[in-house]
Amino acid sequence: MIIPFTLNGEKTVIDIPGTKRVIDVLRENFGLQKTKASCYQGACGNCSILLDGHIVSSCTLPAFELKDRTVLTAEGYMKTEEYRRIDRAFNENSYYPCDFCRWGKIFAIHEFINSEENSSTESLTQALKGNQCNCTSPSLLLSIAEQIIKNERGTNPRPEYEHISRK
Amino acid sequence: MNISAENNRLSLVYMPTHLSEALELLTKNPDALIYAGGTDILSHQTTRMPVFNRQIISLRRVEELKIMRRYENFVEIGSAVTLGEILRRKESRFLPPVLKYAVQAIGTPALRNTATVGGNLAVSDRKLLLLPVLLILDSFLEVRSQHSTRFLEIKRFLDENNTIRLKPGEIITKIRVPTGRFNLYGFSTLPGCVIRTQDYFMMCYAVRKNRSVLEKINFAFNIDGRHIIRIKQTEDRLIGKKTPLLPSEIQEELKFFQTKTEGLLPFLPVYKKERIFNYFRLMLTQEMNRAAFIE
Ligand SMILES: Cc1cc2nc3c(=O)[nH]c(=O)nc-3n(C[C@H](O)[C@H](O)[C@H](O)COP(=O)(O)OP(=O)(O)OC[C@H]3O[C@@H](n4cnc5c(N)ncnc54)[C@H](O)[C@@H]3O)c2cc1C
Ligand code: FES
Ligand code: FES
Repeated sequence: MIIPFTLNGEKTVIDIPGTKRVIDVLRENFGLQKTKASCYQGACGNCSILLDGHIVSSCTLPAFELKDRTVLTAEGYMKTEEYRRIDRAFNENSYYPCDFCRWGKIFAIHEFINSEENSSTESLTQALKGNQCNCTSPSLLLSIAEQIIKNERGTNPRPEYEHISRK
Repeated sequence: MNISAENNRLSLVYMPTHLSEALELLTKNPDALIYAGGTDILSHQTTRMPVFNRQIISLRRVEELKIMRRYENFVEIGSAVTLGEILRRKESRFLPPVLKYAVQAIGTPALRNTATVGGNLAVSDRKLLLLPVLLILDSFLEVRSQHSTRFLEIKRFLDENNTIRLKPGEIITKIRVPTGRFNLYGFSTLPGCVIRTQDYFMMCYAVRKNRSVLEKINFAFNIDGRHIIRIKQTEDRLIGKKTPLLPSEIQEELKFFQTKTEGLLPFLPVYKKERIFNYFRLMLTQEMNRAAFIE
């Protein structure tokens, strides 16, 4: 099946079986290895990408769904200012998630920044729940995300992140 | 007809852009798989390369199914609107809040950006979250085939197991959610429970209160993603009662409710029956006393 779509800002056309999972298309056909696969069930969040600007799991997405749409993977998103600010907040708070869950967490924060949801702790917890990770502190991620969202939604174009202490 | 159909070596994928084309394709290929968000379809595929062995009709490009419109007394939602869009679209401000709570409680943001309302209702091997909520809101479904349209209350599409039954060649096209009928809503799930596990519990209710009198009350439970329970007799018995209910009224209703649920779900373990009972008691003793809000 011939599928034209935009990948990380570049127009692309690919001829592949339309039912191939997008996670495999990205990794095998385009060598984009930062998108990881674990559960293949839409449950763990590791294969997250941005489709038309919104977070989706690429393992439960067949290639035919890409037709005429815009995909941003970790490799493309890394070039954005928003990513640099999120990365800086992670570093300043010594929050270093592994390569498997990192992008799911970052894209979940991106989704929240660009939504109209109120930034209550409850809705933010809900927004971050798609990332299965038992090795980093969920409360630390929550407080960093709260800080990022406050800054991104505020008026300051180049936010300075306050240090969030670990408790 | 401008339908892109591609033989992708494993299955033929049709991507119609108009509803009439989708329905015509379904009539010509009655065994074809209707593909909306695909989150349920793909989560059942155990191989890396999904194998369908049948034609696929994707609804993603059908514009008529992606509309969401507000009318005076209802909001209409196209069946291919994603759950994420329900929360984002401006029309969602007019939806009864219980529906938004329910959508927010479904899966993760990534899932909600792919899964559709129609898909959530049409999954037939489990009872998902939207069906009981749309039921208590007295919502309607539009179901179409190439030559016919059925537009009925959701409950009229349910079989004896409370599963939506469609005829061959039919697809769900629209959901009509009435607005302004109720003024007190509630929605609870057990903290941390996941619908794909064996131990799932959800309760929702919609009430119309005039001053302190219950004018209409609808409530439903989703138990383990397998049973939807709605006890019409209890709903009817509560109509006309004044809140807060008297202790004697509460005792009477609890007793009636217990006999009814016992009869409906004799096979449920005791702790699950107690859970249903406790949530019902909480609804009668506390929730019903909350102030109604003006829409
Ligand atoms: C990780 C994960 C977590 C989940 N958590 C929850 C949860 O917490 N609560 C919950 O309620 N659900 C949950 N689900 C289930 C999810 O909500 C459903 O998979 C989703 O709503 C199905 O919608 P879809 O558009 O993806 O349907 P699809 O997968 O495309 O289709 C599902 C079925 O419906 C049929 N169908 C689709 N659209 C139509 C239509 N318009 N007319 C007729 N038939 C149609 C298809 O042929 C198929 O049989 C979860 C799923 C996953 C993968
Ligand atoms: S691999 Fe896609 S969500 Fe887990
Ligand atoms: S899974 Fe990546 S840090 Fe926990």
